[in-house]
Amino acid sequence: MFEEVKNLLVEEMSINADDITEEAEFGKDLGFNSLELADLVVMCEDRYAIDIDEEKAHTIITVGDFVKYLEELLGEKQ
Amino acid sequence: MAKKTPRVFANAANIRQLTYINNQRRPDKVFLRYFGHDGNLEELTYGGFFERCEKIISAIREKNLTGKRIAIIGENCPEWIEFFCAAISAGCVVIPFDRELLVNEIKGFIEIGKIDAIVFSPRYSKKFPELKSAGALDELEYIIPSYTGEIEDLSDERLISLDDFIKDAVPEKITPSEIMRARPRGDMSIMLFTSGTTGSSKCVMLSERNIMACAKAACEAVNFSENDVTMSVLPIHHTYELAITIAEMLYGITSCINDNLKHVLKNLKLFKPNSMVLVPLFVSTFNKKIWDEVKKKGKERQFKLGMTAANTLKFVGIDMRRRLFSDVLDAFGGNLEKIICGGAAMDPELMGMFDTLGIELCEGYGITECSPLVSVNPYYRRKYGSVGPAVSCCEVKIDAESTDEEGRIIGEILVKGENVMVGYFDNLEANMEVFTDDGWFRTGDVGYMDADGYLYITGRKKTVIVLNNGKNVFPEEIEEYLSKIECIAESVVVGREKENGDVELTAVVYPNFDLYPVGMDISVIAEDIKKKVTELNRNLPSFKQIRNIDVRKTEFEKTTSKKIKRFLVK
Repeated sequence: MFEEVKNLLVEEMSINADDITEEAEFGKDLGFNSLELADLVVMCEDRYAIDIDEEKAHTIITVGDFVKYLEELLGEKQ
Repeated sequence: MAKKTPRVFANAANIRQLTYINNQRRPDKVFLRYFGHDGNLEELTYGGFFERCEKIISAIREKNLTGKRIAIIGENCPEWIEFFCAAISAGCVVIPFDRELLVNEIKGFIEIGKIDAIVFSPRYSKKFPELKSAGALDELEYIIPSYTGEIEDLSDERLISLDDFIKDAVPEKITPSEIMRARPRGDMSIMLFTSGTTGSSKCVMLSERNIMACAKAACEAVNFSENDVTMSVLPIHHTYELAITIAEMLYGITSCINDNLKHVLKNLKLFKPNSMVLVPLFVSTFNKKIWDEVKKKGKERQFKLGMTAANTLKFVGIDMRRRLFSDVLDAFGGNLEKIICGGAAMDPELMGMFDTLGIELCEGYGITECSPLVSVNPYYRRKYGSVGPAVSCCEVKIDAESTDEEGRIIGEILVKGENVMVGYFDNLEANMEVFTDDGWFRTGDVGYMDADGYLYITGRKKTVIVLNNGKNVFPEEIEEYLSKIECIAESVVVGREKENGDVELTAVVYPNFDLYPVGMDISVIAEDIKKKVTELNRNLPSFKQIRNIDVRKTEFEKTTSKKIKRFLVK
């Protein structure tokens, strides 16, 4: 899942692949603002047919947090 | 540039009069278009809005809440605006809460503000069991969810849904002439907390007169009209969005409510607004999206040529902009033609960029204490880089401190007028600091005025950091959180501007070296501090999260009274 998210960030959001680690923070390390984070959330919702909770989205700090949350949602879906 | 034309908007003295006038003039016109609780698109007319407000006014009186303090927390929705308008009209004091407040902050504000009741929307109901167990709700007379439904784990006799609250209200017997004779309230009508519940917290008191003066002045300066359709994306608890909502009501505009940041682009295509009121975050993100899309399609060269062609044609009197860039404009619904931008500093180049596309961008300047509008570029004469001349309800002057190399007088921006706050609540010291003896309000912002009276902001005297989403962050509050991290001995939080103009919160920290082995590499210490700050960030609303950390090897320079000389930290 990490690799999928990484590819999404590189291809769709023009983020440098070297900057994307599990520990990288969206705001601090990848330079995301709240609207860009919202964009990423929508992209993932569309791609995986899931619904990401707005409250939960606020608590996502690192790429690792996001990957973990996606895995949880996809696990629940199955 | 557009020609100056007469502005046509309601000459209402207060909010109740405004709702009444709209009910008389345009009862069937849609005021709000929004997503209902079940996600379906719904509409509320000006007539329906008036009726609901009148019912709430009656209910407030019948339940002896007149003159009491009522907090509202929730996303932008009809119930929020209805309750706000009705409560002000019923003589209450409204306390709009930031939707991102933490439980302990809500508890603190309820206590400090001596709040009597709270209205909240469904999304916030999850917080209520926690608020109850923290004792935050103990002193409240009413807890009013804006929807009909149970709150899990919160059985409480003070709990009453908004529908039940107004169900048996008997409409007040008041004649049209009584409504039309009324004056706006000059006393405290709105309380706005400017930061967390730390020592740096202040509460701004605004009157109904303040907010009405500001909204009318906004109407005079912007080229909105009754036929406009706007889309509301900024949080309604901000005075900026609040004053704009009142201004839209003065014009009789249809306002569409964006339900979620995630859906901005989708909703732009759905609502097709022709005008929007934004903060720089949106404008710069829209700009980035345009360029990303152009690059992705490999049309960068054509796009730049198109921009040159559009500007050349416009120069000779042929306006082809909207036709040339119709595919770009379609991404924003296709009708967007005017944007008002304020709340934070905007990159002046964006105004040129949007002009080229056929979207008129007017930048303004405001501060919560001025309800908030102080100045805005009028549609008929805009200047790049300026935040415009003072709006009609106030005067602005510069408290001369220095002269720059071009001979301009630079100093603190002072404001006097009907939009200036009643004062800070229960804070004599702060009031003494910000008001001069002859009644001018010291904004804490620094700038200069040109010969035409246009204002330019150049800096800030106070410590507050203004982010490009318009949010204010008080560094002292974040430093207090950092002081609780054991491995940090001292810290100063500053706002650093990035290359793209965004401001990011940066913590400059001096580690507690006693906790680390002597000679340990500073990069290892920095990594440890970074992990602790990431943990802190998890408990902070996104706008208060620290984006950058600078670790220094030496203590901060101090004054004789042992305070950090924070002005030395950049």
